[in-house]
Amino acid sequence: MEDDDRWLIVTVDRDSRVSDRDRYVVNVTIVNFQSLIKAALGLDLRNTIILVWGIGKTMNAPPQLEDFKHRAVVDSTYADMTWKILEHAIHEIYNHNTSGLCMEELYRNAYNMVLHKFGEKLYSGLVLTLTSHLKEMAKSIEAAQEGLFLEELNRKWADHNKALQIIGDILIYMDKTFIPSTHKTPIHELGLNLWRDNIIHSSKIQPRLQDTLLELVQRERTGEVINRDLMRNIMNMFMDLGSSVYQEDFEIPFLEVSADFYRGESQQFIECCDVEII
Amino acid sequence: MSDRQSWSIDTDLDGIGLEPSDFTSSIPLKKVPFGDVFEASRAGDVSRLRDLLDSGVNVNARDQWDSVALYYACLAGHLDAARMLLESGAICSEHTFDGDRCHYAALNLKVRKLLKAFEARPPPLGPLQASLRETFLGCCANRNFLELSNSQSSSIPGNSSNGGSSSGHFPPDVVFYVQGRPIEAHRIILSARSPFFKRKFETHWKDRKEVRFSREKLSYHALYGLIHFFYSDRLEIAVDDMEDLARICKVCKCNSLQRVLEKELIHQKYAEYKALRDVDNSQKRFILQGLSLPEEDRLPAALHRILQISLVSSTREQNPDSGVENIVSRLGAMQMSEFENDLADVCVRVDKKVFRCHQVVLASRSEYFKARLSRMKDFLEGKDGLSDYVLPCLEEHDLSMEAFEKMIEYMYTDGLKDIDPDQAEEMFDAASRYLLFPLKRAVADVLLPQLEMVPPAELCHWLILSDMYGVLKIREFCLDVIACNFETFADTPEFRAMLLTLPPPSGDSSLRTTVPSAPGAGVNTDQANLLDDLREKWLEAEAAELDKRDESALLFDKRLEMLMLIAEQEKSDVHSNDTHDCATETVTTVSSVLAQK
Repeated sequence: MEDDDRWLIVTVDRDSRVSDRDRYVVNVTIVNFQSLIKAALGLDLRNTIILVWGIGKTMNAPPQLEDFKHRAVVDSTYADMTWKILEHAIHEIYNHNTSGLCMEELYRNAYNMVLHKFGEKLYSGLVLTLTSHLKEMAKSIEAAQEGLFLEELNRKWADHNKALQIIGDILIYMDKTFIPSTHKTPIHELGLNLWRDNIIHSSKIQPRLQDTLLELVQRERTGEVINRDLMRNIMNMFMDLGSSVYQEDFEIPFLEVSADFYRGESQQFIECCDVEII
Repeated sequence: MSDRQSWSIDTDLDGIGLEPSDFTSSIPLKKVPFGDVFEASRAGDVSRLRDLLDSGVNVNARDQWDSVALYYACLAGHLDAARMLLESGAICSEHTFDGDRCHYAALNLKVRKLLKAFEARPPPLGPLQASLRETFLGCCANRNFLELSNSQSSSIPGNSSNGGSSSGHFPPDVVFYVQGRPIEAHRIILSARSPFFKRKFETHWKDRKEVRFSREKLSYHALYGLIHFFYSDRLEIAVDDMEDLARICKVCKCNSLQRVLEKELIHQKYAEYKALRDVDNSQKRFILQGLSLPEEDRLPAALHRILQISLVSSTREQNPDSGVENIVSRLGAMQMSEFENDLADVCVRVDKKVFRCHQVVLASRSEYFKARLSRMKDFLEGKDGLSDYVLPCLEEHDLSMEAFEKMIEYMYTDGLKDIDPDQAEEMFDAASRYLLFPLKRAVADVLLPQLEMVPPAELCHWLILSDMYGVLKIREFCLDVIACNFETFADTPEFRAMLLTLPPPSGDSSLRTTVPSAPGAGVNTDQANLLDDLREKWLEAEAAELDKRDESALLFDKRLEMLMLIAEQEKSDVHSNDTHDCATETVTTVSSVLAQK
């Protein structure tokens, strides 16, 4: 910090939620800064995030046109900070830990990012975060034991769907404005595509999934009882991912196996029933 | 830019008899990114047309040749453009001057077919009515009825397009069973429209989620029609059910509707006498628009009354500083006001004031509130000591209570009265944040006359804002003014400072060229660049003859570059003067803080 004199420390206590507005005021008026720091220090610091960011740009900016009272002075460091908050929230959502999150705050942060032209950053960050979570999920699905493989896959699919809905709700503004105008993939579809690419089409899962499903079909044909609900869920997942996924990953091999099976059956039937030709 | 979603083409083509492929043109079309509604219709430039319609142009306006936009679209055979105009309420009845011309000018049979199909359709609903209707139809029980009765004709419009994650409907809070069939509804809407329902919900039905009507006489179709009318201000009912409906109206004390129905019933009687053969009334339907009722009996007025009551009880909870006593007294006020007759079911705390609102209205009007209300359990809400609230409480930050009050006024009534132009900026922010895109248009209409006489510096400010919030109307107005008075603006330091903050004009030479866009040349109007647009406007106003336009464009770019250089210079002057002492102060503060720690 010594080598650059244009740094500003702002402490924001997460629990007492010094609102964003105060945070921006700090950024704008240097005079109020000292008192705010004192106030923040007076509070419990255990949960305090200390954010350090360069204000070089904001201080050098040309005299601002009259400022709307809550508009943030937005630069890339602000965007970084906001993205950190959102990224953290996405992690929490995947960890089923949403009770500590405030939807209003998250939505507002995402909205501000898009409004101030950081939509690209938000979108690419979202893709990266989703991908990393799906990679983790892929690992735990791969590690599942033989009998529990489908259950694990189904559970993760449900988790992913739930998380995707919540994330979609937080990022509605981006979904409505930034994504159509830049011709990007809408969030829900993006989540499905990433699931398909990282899980269903991952080299370790794809063949195993196919084998497991066909084996189940085979077992039912030989008279065993299988978990039909689970099977139905997996099929629904294929359909949600698009009919092409269903066809390639299940329908085509399934039809092949069925043809083989019934060929065998019919052969057997013909052999065991002596048909007398009169 | 952000209005894109507010406009959706419904994909139901049943009843029109045209293929979806008919609506995409077979040849590349010329784009007219700056044309008016007539040019856009003639060129078939759908994206421009959508922008214009979103920004609120009068779809039935006539140009200097006394022609309406629909006329041009029909004349040139642009089915998609014509449909967009029709869906926005363009008049196409053959009995009108404009409609007749459209039919006459229709390029081919497909266009005629389209016009015929829309002639029979009622005009589009206002945003308030449309969104409440969608909420009503979103309830499963109501939807089933619609699908059963309309299985052969059109399905619900505007629904196929919003698939995806957040299309979940808003749940009803009361279900009626009539002749064994359910109708789902929301108390507040019924109470607002009918004194009968209001009294019932305050007394007998106070805590009931289900009301069963056992009387066989009560017609399901009639009640469904009435409740649908309560939500949408549009009555659509089989002629056979009209008598039942008139009886229900009498009970519900919907007097003006009852009068209209009784009058219409007499008409129907005569019509039967006059008809030569037996008329099959079961097929005939009676359609009534809310507009034919007196204003105080329409949906916006009804919700306005509700809003007034809730606002009165909202102010009571206002407390400037939040001490413990205040919280206690506030809680007392809340409990007391539980017995208020405003039927509020949610509180929104904004800027130290608690507004009593109605979930169904908030959720119908704004996707944000819909998501927020449905996720209340998932997230941390109102956990800060006041969780004993009688009503669920939402908290909204970064918004003044005045702006919020205006915004809910718009949400409830579709109207915006006495708005202060100083508020406009905050209203734009609220409109985009809460995904209430039509509100931007309403605010822009208020703001626009004000902009006629603002100084250049302020106009720059509005240009930046309108670009940020995607308020097309204001943005274009500012660009026009700047283009026509370019030298005045070039002399303003604020304008030069603004140039530095804008993204540079695109270096893409295909955009730079000023040859009027050839057919098929995709002008990317989505990622609008302010300076590109400004250049275009300037060329329109100032440029030399066609063959010299490229030179003029070059001239303009040079001028811009020069201005930016000056601005750069000015900025560094300012910087060297006063940032120095700021910086030193910061260092001392930081070090003192660290020392304290």
